Amino acid sequence: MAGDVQAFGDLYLACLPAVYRYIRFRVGDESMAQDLAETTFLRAWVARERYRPGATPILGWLYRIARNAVIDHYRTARQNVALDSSMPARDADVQAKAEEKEERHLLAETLERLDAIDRDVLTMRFVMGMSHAEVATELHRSPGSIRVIQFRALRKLRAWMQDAEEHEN
Amino acid sequence: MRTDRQAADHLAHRLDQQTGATGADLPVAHQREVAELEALARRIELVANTQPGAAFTARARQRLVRTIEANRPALPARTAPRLRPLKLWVASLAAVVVVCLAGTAGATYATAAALPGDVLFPAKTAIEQVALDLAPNPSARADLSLEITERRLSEGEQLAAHGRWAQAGLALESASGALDRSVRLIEGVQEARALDALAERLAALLPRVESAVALARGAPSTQLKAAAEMLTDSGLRASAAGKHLGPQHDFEFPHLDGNISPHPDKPKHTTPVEESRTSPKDKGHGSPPTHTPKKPTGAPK
Repeated sequence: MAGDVQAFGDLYLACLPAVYRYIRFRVGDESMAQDLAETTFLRAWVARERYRPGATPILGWLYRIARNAVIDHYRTARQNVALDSSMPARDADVQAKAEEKEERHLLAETLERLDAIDRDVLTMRFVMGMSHAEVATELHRSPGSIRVIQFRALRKLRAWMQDAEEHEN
Repeated sequence: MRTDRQAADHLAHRLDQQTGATGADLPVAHQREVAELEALARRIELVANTQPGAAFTARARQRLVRTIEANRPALPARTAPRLRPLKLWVASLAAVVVVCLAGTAGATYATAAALPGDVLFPAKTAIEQVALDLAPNPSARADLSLEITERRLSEGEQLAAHGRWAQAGLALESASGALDRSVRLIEGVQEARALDALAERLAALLPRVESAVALARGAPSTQLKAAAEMLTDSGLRASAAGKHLGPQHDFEFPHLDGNISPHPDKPKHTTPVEESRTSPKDKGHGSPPTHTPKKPTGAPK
């Protein structure tokens, strides 16, 4: 069992960057992303029996757990925790950083408005860094179908982003 | 509809940076749209491209392992008629990593040369884990684990030499875990000759561990000092176990003439292991071993 824990530690090192990227993309705040990343891996350990190697890519499985951790976080802390873009910038000189955060927030929010399948495909592809084949396995679709969903989801996202930007201007 | 599929395929090819798909047969409007969608996808990749810090990665891993160990009864697997070996996870993960890297020329070499903190280092450790899982017998597995321990020590020394303290700390923490694992694996070996050879190799590794601890304790980094203490504890455990596994070999750790004590804030004779080792000298029974720790050597394998 100690070997299992060690192996899980190695797994953590291998998968943390992708999981962290996703969580940070969603919540913005660095320390919150760190907390939720740790929560994700603890939940993964508890649920490890449910993972079926070969049936689903490990990153896809961790994505589901991380996504639920983020949703739970917002559900329980909605009153107290605002998205970082709504917080005043601590340093007025970091304009570029603020703009980057704003863009991240806009992208993350708009992605969340997509249908589940569209959102999952774009998130797994461009935030988690998974390949077409991995996403296809995770979602039980053919790679061709994933390519089409990807194309149409990006098209929708572009239209909504344009609307949002025009509205802002 | 058909054009959408063609455009989707063309976009996928462009995103995968594959050559040969020019999209010239697509209507011009679709070609333009594909280019715009590719730009949007790249924008998401860019905006999402953040990395967890090395210090957080190390701390969180340590916390994770400790939490799991401390709460084992409270954190059971939810459906556990029998435990699923995590080796399958790692094999699956490593397969993903290898497939991801397969298209990149020289990726295997790059992975082997990766150091803690490098992008490819997690792939390297995952591949090592798979190699351990696939070892043909317990003694081969233990031997490989010792090799990985040596590798982490060398990496830690190399990184520390370049002032990359946080990454060196990661390497030495990993070396500590690898040393503990090696001892467990050696303890499981039944065949006498193999056991003796492994015990000898473990004994030869301890001066390297001592060298790395001394180096880390002298570094201006709290993380590296913390790693030094983890490694010291692993060295003490290995020493205690080694004296049972191969009493004919030299398992002194730390050496009386070495440059570390078990813990810097404790006198040498305060740990049971050290006390039992130092007592013959204290009582005037012969002289202690005079093994000198080796200097750190070369680049990691």
